[in-house]
Amino acid sequence: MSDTERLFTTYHPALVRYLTRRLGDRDWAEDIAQETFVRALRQGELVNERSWLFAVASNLVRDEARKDIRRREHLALLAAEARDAHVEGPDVVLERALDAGDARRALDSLAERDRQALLLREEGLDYPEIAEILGIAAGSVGTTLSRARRRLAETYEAQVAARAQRGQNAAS
Amino acid sequence: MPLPDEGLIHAWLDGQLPPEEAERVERLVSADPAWAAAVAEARGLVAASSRILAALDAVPSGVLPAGSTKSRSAHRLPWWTKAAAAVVIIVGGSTLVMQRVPAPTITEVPKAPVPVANVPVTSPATSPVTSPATSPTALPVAPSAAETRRDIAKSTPPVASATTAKAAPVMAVPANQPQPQMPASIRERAEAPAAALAQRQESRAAGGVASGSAGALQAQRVADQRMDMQRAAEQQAGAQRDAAAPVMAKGEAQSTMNQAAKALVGVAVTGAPAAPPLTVGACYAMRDSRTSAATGIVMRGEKQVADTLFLAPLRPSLPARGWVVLRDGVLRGVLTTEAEGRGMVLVTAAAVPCTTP
Repeated sequence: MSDTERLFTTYHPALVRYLTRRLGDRDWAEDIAQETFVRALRQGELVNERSWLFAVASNLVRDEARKDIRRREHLALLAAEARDAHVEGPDVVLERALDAGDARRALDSLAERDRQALLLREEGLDYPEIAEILGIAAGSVGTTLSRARRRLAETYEAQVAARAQRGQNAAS
Repeated sequence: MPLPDEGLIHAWLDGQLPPEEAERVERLVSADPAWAAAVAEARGLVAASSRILAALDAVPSGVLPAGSTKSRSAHRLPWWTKAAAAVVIIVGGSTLVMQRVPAPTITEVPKAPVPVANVPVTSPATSPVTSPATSPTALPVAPSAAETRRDIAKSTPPVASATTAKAAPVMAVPANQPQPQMPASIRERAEAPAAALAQRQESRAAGGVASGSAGALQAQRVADQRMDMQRAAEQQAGAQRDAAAPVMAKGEAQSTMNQAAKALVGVAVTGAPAAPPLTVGACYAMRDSRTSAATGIVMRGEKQVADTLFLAPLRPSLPARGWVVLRDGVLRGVLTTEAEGRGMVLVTAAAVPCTTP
């Protein structure tokens, strides 16, 4: 197996998942992943492949996000539409969409550094790698993650509770 | 007993503490109920976070506004890049037409209506985009220049075949001489500088990638160097053509231009003329690089950015896309198909004639 194939086979699924979670769109995630691998192939030898790939992908996301805020607005619009649709009669698909909407809003409520640390950790990056990508001390990654996980869970629970309340109000 | 440290507990649960530190936390958790409670809560947060994030994996594709994903790179282009591309396209198109029109010294000019007349839109006199810096209409004109390019591409083959068929005896061009690839070459010349500019602009825009990364800077330098080489080759080819045109027979001029175009491909795409070129418009058969099995999919070079050729399916109905780069003399890349649940495979590619399998 060539280096190219190994690199792709090893990291592509995790990178696409990471990007999908960050961006909320699979096509966009695959575009960024593709661009990341193109750059990796151009780069040649990488000292720390996983860190390099996730760092480049993160930077590409950041640059893209700066350029086009409309995407976020559109995602927020979709979430609002899903909320409205909920009143009419939920089904499994809609329930899943609502869960995803709650999760997205919870994730978006985190500070950028916390969000990135959480998503990178979920893809199995270890603390030194996360520290390198975020430019923070390795010793502070645990604190960053604990804060991110707590905030994510609390915000998500609040979203779910608010949704349930809206459902009750609509029913009464 | 120290108070529970949440960061330390998460690091311990994640298995990221050195052995001595992990043992110390373990002792604290065993001995102190406050630490044990904090660990239980942290375990819950870790599990909840993973579950919440997993909900994000079920997002549909294509939820973005139409065009925003597919044409993102086009949106990135600043007006001056579009204007520069338009100028190159128009100059290239005009050159093509001028080379195609029979020289006045040839008496047996075919009387049949030749589609050359369909291309006056490329005449410099009707092209305000040639001065984009001073023209406020440069931006709106750029897309129509792209339309013009498509018109040229569409109308050129009939021009070539009609001219060659009618003028062959007069011009003493051998009947079995391969048809020149000028339309594709011109297109490539027109598109490559714009693509290189866009690539460089992209690289600069991705400052986060470049900053602190010597590799990215090196890639930037290589991209710049390639563009400079490409410009030099273009200038040389243009100078050769200009010098030769008045005295050269038409067939010779075409041959020279073909050679120049081939040289350009070698410089622009691979950096090594001996390597097999990536060509916009050419077709490639895809082979699964792991199993070496032919996929039966033929892709056409759609767009080239630096040394990467982006591919579109030869059969437009096939839901596939991909890209290849040249590595160690082999075209390697990725093929994405949506036919069976969005599969992605690593592929090698080989140039083939553009015929639907």
